[in-house]
Amino acid sequence: MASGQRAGILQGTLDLMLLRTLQTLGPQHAYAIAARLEQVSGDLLHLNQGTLYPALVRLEQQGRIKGTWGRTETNREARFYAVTKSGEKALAEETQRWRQIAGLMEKILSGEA
Amino acid sequence: MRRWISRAANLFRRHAAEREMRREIASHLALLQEEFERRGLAPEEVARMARRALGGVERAKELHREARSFAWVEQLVRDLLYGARNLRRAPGFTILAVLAVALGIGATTTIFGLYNAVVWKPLPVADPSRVFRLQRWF
Repeated sequence: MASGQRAGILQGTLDLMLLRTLQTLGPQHAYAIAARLEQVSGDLLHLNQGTLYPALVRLEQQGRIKGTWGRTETNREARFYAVTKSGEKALAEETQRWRQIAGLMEKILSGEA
Repeated sequence: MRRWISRAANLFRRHAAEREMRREIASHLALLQEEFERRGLAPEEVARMARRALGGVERAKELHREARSFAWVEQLVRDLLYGARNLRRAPGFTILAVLAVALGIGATTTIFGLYNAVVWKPLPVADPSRVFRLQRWF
């Protein structure tokens, strides 16, 4: 892989990242989610924060998160997203699935398979 | 399935959904600006950097729209409305165009009707293949 190339987001992983971030942080607005993802990833993941919206819209339409208007600590209005019951369930399933695939990839790449 | 219903519903509450989205993205931008101000950026830099972090305001809106509804249906409806408005604005042209199309349809229908009656329709007898024409000359 070319050096300095930043990791694009692997198809389908963004939803999982968002769900997990919201579960860890509790209800948060889009900016806080983006800031958290950038902080956790260091320099690895650089996202245009606008690209979170399709995932947020999708997850909300699937009933996995729910957005409500609220106020930040600095008293600005923002839409806070919280993980729903069905979101928790989806997160558990997807996490397991992701681990399986990651494990399989690791096996194949390290030549054990 | 649930998502499809929601997307279809958004076709009918386009204005409400659009308003909600504007409000959310404006608030996102404000939070970004707040952060850049906190880091001590110059005021003119703050707005620019905030837009850049979002990946462009219009781009973000476009992504939002595509995800929340069926963008192509919305575009189709917009195009149709635009066409209808233009037709109303140019009544002379509209009348001419309608007449041309009407004449075209009328003419082809008539010709087909004749051709169909004369050539294709079977004769109204029990066994058309056994009908003969007899002629005598003197």
